[in-house]
Amino acid sequence: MAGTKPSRELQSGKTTNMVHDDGAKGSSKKRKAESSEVAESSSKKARHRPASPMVIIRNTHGGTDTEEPTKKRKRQLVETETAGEVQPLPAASSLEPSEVRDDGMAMEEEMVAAEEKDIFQPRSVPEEQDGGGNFAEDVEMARAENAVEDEVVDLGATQPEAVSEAKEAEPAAIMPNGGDSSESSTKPSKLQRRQNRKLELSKLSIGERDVQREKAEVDMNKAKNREARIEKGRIVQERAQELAHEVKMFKREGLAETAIAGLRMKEVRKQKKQPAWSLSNTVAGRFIDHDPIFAKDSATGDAVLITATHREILVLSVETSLPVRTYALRRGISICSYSLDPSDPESLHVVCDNGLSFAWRWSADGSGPQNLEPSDATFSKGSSAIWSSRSLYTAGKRLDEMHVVSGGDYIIAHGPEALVLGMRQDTGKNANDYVWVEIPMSIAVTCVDARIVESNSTSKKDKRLARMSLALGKSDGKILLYDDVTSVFAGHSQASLPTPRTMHWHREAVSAVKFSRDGSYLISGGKETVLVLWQLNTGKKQFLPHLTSEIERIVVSPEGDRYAIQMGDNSIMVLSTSELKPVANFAGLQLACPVSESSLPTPKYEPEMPYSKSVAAVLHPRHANQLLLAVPATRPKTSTNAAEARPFLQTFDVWTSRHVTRQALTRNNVTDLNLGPERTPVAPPDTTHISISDGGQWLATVDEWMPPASDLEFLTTSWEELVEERRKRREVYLKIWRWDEAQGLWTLSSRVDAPHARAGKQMQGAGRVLALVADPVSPGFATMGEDGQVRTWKPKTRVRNGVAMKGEGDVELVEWVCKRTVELPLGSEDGHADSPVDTARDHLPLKACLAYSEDASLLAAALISAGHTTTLVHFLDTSSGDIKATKSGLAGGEHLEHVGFLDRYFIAVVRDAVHIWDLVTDALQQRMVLPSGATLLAINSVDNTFAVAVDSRVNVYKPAETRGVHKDDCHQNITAILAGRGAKGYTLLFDDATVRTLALTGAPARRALPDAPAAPKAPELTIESGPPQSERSADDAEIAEVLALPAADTKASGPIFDETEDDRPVVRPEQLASIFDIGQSFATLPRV
Amino acid sequence: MDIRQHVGVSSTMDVHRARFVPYPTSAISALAFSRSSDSGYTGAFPALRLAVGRANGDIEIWNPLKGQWVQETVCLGDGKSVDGLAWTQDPDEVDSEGTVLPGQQRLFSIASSQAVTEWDLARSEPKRKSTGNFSEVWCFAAQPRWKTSKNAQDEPRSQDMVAGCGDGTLVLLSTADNDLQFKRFLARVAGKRARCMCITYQNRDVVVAGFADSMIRIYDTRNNSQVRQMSLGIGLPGAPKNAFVWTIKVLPNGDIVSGDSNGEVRIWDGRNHSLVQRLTGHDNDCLDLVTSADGHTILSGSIDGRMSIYRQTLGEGGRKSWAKHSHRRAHSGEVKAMAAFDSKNGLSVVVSGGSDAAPMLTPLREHGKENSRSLSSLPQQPKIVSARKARLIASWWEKEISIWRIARQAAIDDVPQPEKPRKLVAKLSLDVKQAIRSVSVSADGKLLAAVTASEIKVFQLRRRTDSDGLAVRKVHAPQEFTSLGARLLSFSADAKWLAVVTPDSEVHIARFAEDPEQPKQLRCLPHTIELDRRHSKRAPSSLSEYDRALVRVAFASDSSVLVAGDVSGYLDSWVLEGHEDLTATAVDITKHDSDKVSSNDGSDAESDSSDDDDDALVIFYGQHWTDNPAGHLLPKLDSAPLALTFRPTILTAQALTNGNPGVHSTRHNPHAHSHALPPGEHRLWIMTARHEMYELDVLAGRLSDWSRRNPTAALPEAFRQIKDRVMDAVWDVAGQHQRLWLHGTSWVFMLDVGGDSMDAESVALTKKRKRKARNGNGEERSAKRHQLGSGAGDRVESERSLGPQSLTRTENGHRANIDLTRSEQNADEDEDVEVDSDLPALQLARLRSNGSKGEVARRDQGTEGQRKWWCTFKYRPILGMVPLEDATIPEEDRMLEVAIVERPI
Repeated sequence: MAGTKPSRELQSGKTTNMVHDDGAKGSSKKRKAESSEVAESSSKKARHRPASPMVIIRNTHGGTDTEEPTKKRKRQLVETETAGEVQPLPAASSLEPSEVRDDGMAMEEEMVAAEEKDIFQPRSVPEEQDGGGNFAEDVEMARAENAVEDEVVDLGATQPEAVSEAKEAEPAAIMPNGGDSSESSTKPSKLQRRQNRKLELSKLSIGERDVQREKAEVDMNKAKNREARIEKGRIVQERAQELAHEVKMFKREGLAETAIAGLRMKEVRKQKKQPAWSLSNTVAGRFIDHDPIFAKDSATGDAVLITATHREILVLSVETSLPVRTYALRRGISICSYSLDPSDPESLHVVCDNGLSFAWRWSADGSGPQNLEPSDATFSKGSSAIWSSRSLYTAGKRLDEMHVVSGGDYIIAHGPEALVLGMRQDTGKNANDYVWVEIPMSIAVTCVDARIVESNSTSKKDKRLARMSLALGKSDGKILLYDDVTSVFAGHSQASLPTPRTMHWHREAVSAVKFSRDGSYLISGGKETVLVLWQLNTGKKQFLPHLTSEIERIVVSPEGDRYAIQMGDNSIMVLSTSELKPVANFAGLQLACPVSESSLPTPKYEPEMPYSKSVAAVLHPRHANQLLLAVPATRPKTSTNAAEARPFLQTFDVWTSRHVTRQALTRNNVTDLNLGPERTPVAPPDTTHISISDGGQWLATVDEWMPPASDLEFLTTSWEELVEERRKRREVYLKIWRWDEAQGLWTLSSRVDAPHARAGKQMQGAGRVLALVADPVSPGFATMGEDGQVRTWKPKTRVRNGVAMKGEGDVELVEWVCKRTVELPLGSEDGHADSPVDTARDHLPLKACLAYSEDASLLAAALISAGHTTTLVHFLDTSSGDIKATKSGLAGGEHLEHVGFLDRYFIAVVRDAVHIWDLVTDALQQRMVLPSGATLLAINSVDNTFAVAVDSRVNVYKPAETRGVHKDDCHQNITAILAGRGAKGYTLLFDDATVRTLALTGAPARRALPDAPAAPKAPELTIESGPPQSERSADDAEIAEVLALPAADTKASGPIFDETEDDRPVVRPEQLASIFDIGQSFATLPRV
Repeated sequence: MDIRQHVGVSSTMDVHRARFVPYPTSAISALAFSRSSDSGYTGAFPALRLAVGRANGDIEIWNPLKGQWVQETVCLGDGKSVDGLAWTQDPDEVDSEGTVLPGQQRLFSIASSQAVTEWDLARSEPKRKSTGNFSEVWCFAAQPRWKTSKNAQDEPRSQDMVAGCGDGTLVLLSTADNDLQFKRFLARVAGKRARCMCITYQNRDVVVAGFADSMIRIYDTRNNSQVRQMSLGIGLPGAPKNAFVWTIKVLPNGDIVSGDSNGEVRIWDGRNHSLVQRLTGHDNDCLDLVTSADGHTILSGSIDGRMSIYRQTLGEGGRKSWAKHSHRRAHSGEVKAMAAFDSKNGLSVVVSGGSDAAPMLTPLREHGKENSRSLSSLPQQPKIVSARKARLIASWWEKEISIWRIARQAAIDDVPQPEKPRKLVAKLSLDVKQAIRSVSVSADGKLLAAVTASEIKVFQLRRRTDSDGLAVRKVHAPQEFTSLGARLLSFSADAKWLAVVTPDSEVHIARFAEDPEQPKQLRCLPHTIELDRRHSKRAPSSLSEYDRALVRVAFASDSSVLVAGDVSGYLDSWVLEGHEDLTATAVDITKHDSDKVSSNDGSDAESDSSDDDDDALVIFYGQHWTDNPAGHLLPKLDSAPLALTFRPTILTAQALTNGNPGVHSTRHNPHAHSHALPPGEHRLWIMTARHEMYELDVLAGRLSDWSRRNPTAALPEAFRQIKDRVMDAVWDVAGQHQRLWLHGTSWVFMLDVGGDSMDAESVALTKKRKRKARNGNGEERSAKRHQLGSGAGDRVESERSLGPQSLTRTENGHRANIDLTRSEQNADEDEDVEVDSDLPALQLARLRSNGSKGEVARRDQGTEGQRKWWCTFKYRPILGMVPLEDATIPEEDRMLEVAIVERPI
């Protein structure tokens, strides 16, 4: 049993610890609180227990849900663990208020203690976990359930506890929905009756609580004359039905409570089974640009690789290629750097972008308490920023990376313009006396590695026998190797730097260079996707060519038997040194992140149209966890066509956060020479649209390509001409791929060259395809091009001599043909739409909206062009191809962004609003105002909901209801929102390559994790020494403050999602008192 | 191509940009320094020269001149590629007075034949050949110099040579007694592939030879025994089974370095002959390699033009190991030959050459800190002459002379049917044994003389009446004159005199006059004279004969003064006494002329001229050549003169003296002749190989006033930065201005020499320098100051530098900037001070030169608006720049017209 429940054990171990520490922690430990939480909770408190500053502390991040632990809970936990049975889950949170009343102070303290831990809470992921399991959610659920169990026990309830264990998923998952819901419906209702509603609120799961509390408060504040329906989620756990996917979805059935708020404050509760929407934890994410660390798990003895995304530290098992442990930071803080403590390799020092530094024991008992301490370990191996109070050296130029060599004898830092070397002086005991040498670099140094060579010769009087070899990778592709750089530290007259060895194989900047462990090799990599091994003694080179993507980082394991290579496709590969065979591979989502502002020059010609690229991604209709998206070959570093083109298809499992497959969709030149004769990058075609047929058998992609402007400049005299010449040479292909089960690949079935003509009857060149949708019923696709035509594409069995042709595996060969072409009439209201003169530029379609109705009988199409003020939406009968209706009022006067069908409603998202049109009554059902911003629409017919994302916020609506059913702010720009067919909920892709799902779950609805205010710009790396021990405590406090960045800031300053309703939480003056009553300095606003 | 254009200095010079001259360049096939380092010598160092052997058999002698690199002489070969070069030095001798006479340095070569050739550097000719009963020599090497041992009885011994032959034979040759003789066979290696590819001495007794059968064999010359043989193993996959050992060198510690056809450089232990290390330096054959004097650096060159540098470093555990440092594509073709000179403080440079014909200088000690530099592949002495009045250009190579006529500007522009801008009007193929060494053509285009090492041929050119071509008629000259052969020659401005410098560096003069019988024909007067050179006391040199070789000769513009300069910088001058008297006898020979200082007894000339020439006085039409009475006052130049030219004088109305008044033959003086010296100043403008500028008043034997006011330091900074040496100078004295157009292979420079070219700062600078010179060895030091580098290019600019040039050091909060560019050897303090004091002035000068990179022009001077100097680099490589004249334009309107002959590669 123990083997089956590591996560449980970890979990319980942690809680046990908490029990032991309980008393001490509550009072002595530094505390952190999210101000928003404070505000919210105290506002409730103000009503009920004004004297007791109860702080409800919400978990920041990391997949745990905050529950108020109680002492009893812990005891129970042990029982639970030993019992290990599947127990029905009560929805018992409503009982807790009594507890709170009973020992409020203790609880408060505990909560504070727990809170402290939760801010940086590791998620333990059992290795045994089956691959399909969504570990993140499992853990979450497990934790949530633990809490629930506790509560149940507290109440003395006799029902068996529901075991939340992900590991015990089988029985749990089998548990029928009905049973769950019945229980949840009966029990809580009884309990709830005894309860004060407001107290309930405090017990609610965070996400719901927030939403509902906000509303409730608004109600109280201004609800004199208005009734508001408040929905309350109840914590009822329910196993998700997605057994086939091996993922336990917890669905929470909440009690919908309708309260009639008013002066009377009479509560009317109506129990209604209604699932609550919750936003899952973040999965995927991009590895930060930092050397991973090889380490050994002391518990299992397995080699692990420690790396990090911006938000999480990951401990990855080299043996299984799976994450072993993760540790998430609160949203808003990104990890900048990390390194192992040289004295204690089980401790990991982490530096965040707000200057915060802490240590985490990553090893087997990583669930133990996290020591938050200032990193006074000044010297750590690998590259790490050193945080402390005293500056060791301030460089004149920007520095990007730092290496500490030989236990701090040498420090090397480099930036684009300078290389800084520091050598510790032997004088005295003060270990922080360094001689610094700053060397200006005319050609930027891109990577550095140093190696200490101990020389045996005792003849020299010089005490410092060690020589430091230094390898510099340069942006011009050269690697410079200095045999000994210690001579530069000599005094004024003797300082010298011998000419370096030059190794020049790389065409472009060297991304990574490392010495092998024995110093006889130099390993380098760069954009060429080739790993180069330089035999230093003989001058020979060995190559490992044709890696899938450019090499960004190389790390040599301490034993020297492994190389870890971080690549531009957001994957880390571990190679064995001897055979150069891959041992492990960790691939992340390869979504192209927006290019950060870089020093690289911008291309001369901007893209043809100033539209932003939309993410080409789709969820697999039969495997809702599989995300198919077009990805670039490598992370774009510049904002050029070549860099941002997406020639590859990645399949990514968003539940397990694992890469599934990757294949090429277009021609590409990752491993070829990808520079033209004039050293301009050769751009591959860009896949702009992806769609997948209902059965998951057919995939349609559209890719387009234009020759680079520099190739055609000689033909033209003006920018306009150049654009036109490029358009003439545009290549657009519609490719239809069939899923080959045997190979596990999409194989190309048909390719349609230039599926659409260019706008304005231009003969030359292919027109852009503006929209591509899949027929929801039968195999088939519909496209809409800039020529204003809608084409439907259908498979046709290939027939030879009247007999259907069969291909391999007895598959009927089909060819895809254009079944129907419908030319949309152009809007004539503008009058000049028909004039050929203006069609050239003004009326070039920018965008098209295309949507099938659910039964595929109707196709809505709209073409949006700059010249038209009104957009016509045409409804096409797919069987006849006739235009059944044309409506202009749908988007009257506003910019249409997206359209879709849901049930009998037609949904049109315009710039600042959503229009829901009832197709039966042919009337506008609703118009809901949206905040301005880039909108995204996804429609889920299973849920009968649709979701609109605006920038970082997402709203879920039901067409029949006047208000959104859910809204959430993710504090991260959403780049795509997808709905799987046949699956509930939505999948959200963010611009930092993370994925979250928004679904109806049984787990406590989690609101977006509190976000810190926008992190300050990463500070320039300065090398600082550790503080004297005496200053330590002060530093601690300071850190604590920093950690406790109040979310209230965000709340107050950030735009609120639905601005039409003023339901912002208002912190009244008396509430403020309770906020500040917390009494500790850390609760005040941080000194950022 | 003939591009006619005006140079930027508008209305000052008309340039014909001529690219039609198909002058061939030849690949470099061998390189050798006369010594490889400064170590091992006591007393004065022997002369340092670089011999460059080319595929056409030519051997060029370059003088490094502490980094200024000038091509001094060229030994024309017989067309066979020079495959190897080696220098030896005879043992020093002590003469009766106890002074040490340095042993003479001798140059040997091999050229795809069975012979080893010794070259007479003074005559620029092969001296002797040693052939024996062996097959063709593929490689040879000279024995290391004899080191004086403590045992005083040991007679200093000469250096032997060992030659490796195509049939595997190793031959020892002796150079003792100023001879080259077969000594004995060292070994005969049997086998089909036993071709000896490379050979070297490990020490005076042990020879290491690399063969084509991938073997390295070691022989002891004392007992003719094979000590050891080492195998390279088989070649790389795809390569022939046997690797060629292309080159082999020995490090100072005795270790052997080999370069082979696998592109590998291998290092073998010198004592136990085991393989120490193999380095993959090249992807192709490694053809040659050189080592530094301290043995810590190796450079190798490969067939793909790359040069790799290897350094010895302390490896793991203090073990010394070699590692390839970097490589660089130094040549567009292969790197065929390399040579290194590595001294501790001065020159430290590797010269490499290959099929791209240009020697490439790579810094050795300062590798990576200094730039490489390419020397010119074109001859230092322009192989272009012009007849300016006849608008002819003549160029020559091997045995051919081509003559073009350049059309007048007006004829091209204005005439309805324009002439072709240029026309090949004659092509002479001489029936001579050796290649043509020099050609001169008179200004009126009527006479053309061509010389080889053994013949002098003079032709009369006349314009054909029937076509555009030239009619060529051979002018008969005395047999004893034509058989002299010559290395240099020059017609005087009035085309009456032809001065030739024989291979022995004697100067002979012939007089040309119209044939009285056939007035249209010119004839050479039947008698020629030899002009004696002064024999000044010279410092003992290891190239004593060579130092006397004349390299430049010049007539004054009134044809009355002749000056010749030799390699070591001595000038000889002669004047023409008397006035031309066409009524006098053409040739009047007197004996025992009392005025003539008879000092030719020491002459080494074994001239075939008759005895009476020695003391006879020959008078041509009342004129005769005699030594310049002030000749002994002329200073020795600091180095060989490169540009030797007289400032044209505006001929003032000369006293119309027909004949020599007051000179009458008497009985006692039957051959009365005038002793009247030519009137006026004869100012000789000189630029030496060190780019020092002088102007001498030849007849007064002193520096001219202009030169006193304008020393070298007055030259603009832009000029002093030019590295390529000056090739020739063209005067532009029309109108008010007096300008001198200088050119090198890559630049054209105008200098206004009419007035003083310098300003106050420069004068101050000069004075300061002079003061310094007086204080001590200032001249030397200031020269040294420019030569702090290792003799290759300039310091690498910081943007392109591999390593940093400066850094900031912070210790205990104190910041200091440290310059890393200074050389390892700390310059002494005095020099630093000097640099500092000079710097402001130099910077001022730099500031004034507000020019772009290609063309640097000085700001307009005062009210005249005339530039004092002007410089361009847009023509390159320049084979020659010759003046032309358009006689149809009145003289006052005439601007300088030149043809710049480029040779685009």
